[in-house]
Amino acid sequence: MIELKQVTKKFGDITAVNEVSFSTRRGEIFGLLGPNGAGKTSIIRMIMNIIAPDQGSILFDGKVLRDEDKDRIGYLPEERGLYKKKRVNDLLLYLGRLKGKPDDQIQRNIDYWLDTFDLQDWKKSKIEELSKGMAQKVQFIASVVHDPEIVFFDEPFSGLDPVSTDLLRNAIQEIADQGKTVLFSTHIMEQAEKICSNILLVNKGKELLSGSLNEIKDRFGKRSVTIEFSGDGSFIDGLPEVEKVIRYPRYFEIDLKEEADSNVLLKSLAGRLSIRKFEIASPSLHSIFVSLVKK
Amino acid sequence: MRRKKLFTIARHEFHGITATRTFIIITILGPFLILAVSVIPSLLSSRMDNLQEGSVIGVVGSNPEVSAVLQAAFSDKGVIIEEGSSLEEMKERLLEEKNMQGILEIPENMLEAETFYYYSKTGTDVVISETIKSVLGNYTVSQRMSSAGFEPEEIKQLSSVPDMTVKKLSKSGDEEESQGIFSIMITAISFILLLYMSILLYGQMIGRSIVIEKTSKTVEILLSSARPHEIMFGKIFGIGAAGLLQYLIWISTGLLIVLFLGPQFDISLPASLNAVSLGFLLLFFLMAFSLYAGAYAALGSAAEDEQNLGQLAWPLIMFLVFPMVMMSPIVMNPDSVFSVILSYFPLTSPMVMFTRVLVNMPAVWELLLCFLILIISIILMIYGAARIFRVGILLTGNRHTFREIIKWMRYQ
Repeated sequence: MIELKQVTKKFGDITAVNEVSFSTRRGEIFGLLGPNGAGKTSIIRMIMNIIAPDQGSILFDGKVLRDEDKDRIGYLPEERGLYKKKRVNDLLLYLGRLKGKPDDQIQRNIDYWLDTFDLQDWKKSKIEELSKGMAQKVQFIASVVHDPEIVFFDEPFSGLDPVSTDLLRNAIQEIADQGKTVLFSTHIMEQAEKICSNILLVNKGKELLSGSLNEIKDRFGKRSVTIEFSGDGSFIDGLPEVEKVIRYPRYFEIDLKEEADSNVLLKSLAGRLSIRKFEIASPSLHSIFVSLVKK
Repeated sequence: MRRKKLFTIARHEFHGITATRTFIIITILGPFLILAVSVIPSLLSSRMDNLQEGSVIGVVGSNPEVSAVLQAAFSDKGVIIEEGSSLEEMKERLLEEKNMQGILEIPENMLEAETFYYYSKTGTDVVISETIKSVLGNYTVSQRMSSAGFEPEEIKQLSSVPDMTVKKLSKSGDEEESQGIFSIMITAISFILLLYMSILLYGQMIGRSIVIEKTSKTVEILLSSARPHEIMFGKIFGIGAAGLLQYLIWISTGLLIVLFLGPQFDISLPASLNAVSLGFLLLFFLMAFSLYAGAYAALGSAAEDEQNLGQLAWPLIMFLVFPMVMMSPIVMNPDSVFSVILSYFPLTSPMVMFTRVLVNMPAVWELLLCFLILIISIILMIYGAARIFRVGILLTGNRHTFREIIKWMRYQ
């Protein structure tokens, strides 16, 4: 659906986006991850054709992205804002019309989503009368009111309470289940971990990591082992497979050396300690992210 | 440019203005305000003498005959002429009594007097002093002639002063009745006022509407659906249409009032307003509005917030005010180098060229040149505004200098 090829964007001397490439498929939730200032918003703005890339190309369904394609994309910007004096229904109708959809279709979608978020009673209220959480939901609705094929959510959960967060996560899953592509950008890895199937991790405008979440976890997960045991574990530091040991009161977390085999470690431990638990840990995306960004 | 998007934005802006209570109230109150501003001063000035029933003018050194002549001149206004013996006493009364308007001092030998003296509280009540001057002047001259042996009939004939009619010779050589500087000034000033009001009101609205997109962070949503110039033109057309609607309501109400109530109340359109000048008015109005709307759109996209917009806009307002301040030299001397330059400079030409059209129709090539400059300026202004808009709209939270803003126009 959307494909970026070696896209670069500079602002003066600063390279905001440096040769970034990725592609998304139908029905997947794709995470665009990275710390603040990594270049996520610039990438999104280039996909939305708000700014133009200096180099590289952005393809939509295999063809160079045109302005007309924007009508098939929904966008929830990170900088939230709605016209305060407008009424909820009027505003959503206006934003849907801007995408070129007929009124009756937009109205059906508005009603569907207002029901979903339990906002029907606020349909005729002015935006300024809504709570912050409600306004966020309205903004979410604004991004999907024209039934887009691709939706871009930039930090959709920021500032939401846990109940609203769940509600929104379900809504995003629902959109993906309908066969639409969801692009999702955040700096909070726990959220991405819960919903993304594929990710692209960027830092300082450059790609750090990309691929399916499972693959990535496999790749980074094999080198960390958690053990619970009885006995004297002080010899573990000296084992040839071990890179580093982090001691917790109830268990040890062992980082293995590159190319070390966890089975070999298990064998050397089994003879000398009474092991209650031996777990090849799957590191959180958070720790992968932190370790990569720190490098 | 996609017309549908532009139309959707224009409709949204139009609706956003016309559906507000402020718009409805201003539309209804506007004509009354205009009436108040335009008619009341002229009503007041026609009664400029400030004389009320029971006002008193004191006369010192008069005789009953002179007093009677004066009383006759003022009697229709209910003014009482009071003779007094001492000037000092009268002066005291003038300072103390509210209804005392002034004191006339007539020298002892009236027929040989070089001048009379009139004491007033303000020194500016010209209507009274001019009336007295003319009455006493006529009286004195007839008395002198009478003592030289002329009969009353002869006196009347000899002392009558011929009138003078001013005729205007137009460029085509036709003779026309001059409309008079007063009528032209009124028409030109009301036009410039109209333009000034609509630009301040609706130009400012265009600027504000753009700044609000920035401050309320809605611009990214808009940009995800439409191109920058579609947004900008949508705003200009939508807000411009709202302004036009308001003026159409006002002008048609005005015309209806003049047509139906005019004959009863003896109100008529100024002679300088005819089909030709109305056509020019509309043309200049539209062009001036487009030019200033483009300028305001550019300033709106460069401004950080509404306050900053106000600061950036003042040079623009200066250009609007300048022709108004310079109105009398322009009307009195429409072909001077000064007037001609102002009538080509795009920010002042709609106002100044229109004034020239009213006073003395310029040559066709002059009008064409003026229109050409205006049209090119409008195109350049809107092109520049669109480029500034494109860059400025995403830059929030910073104030920018004019030099930076000019630099934006060169960005790719």
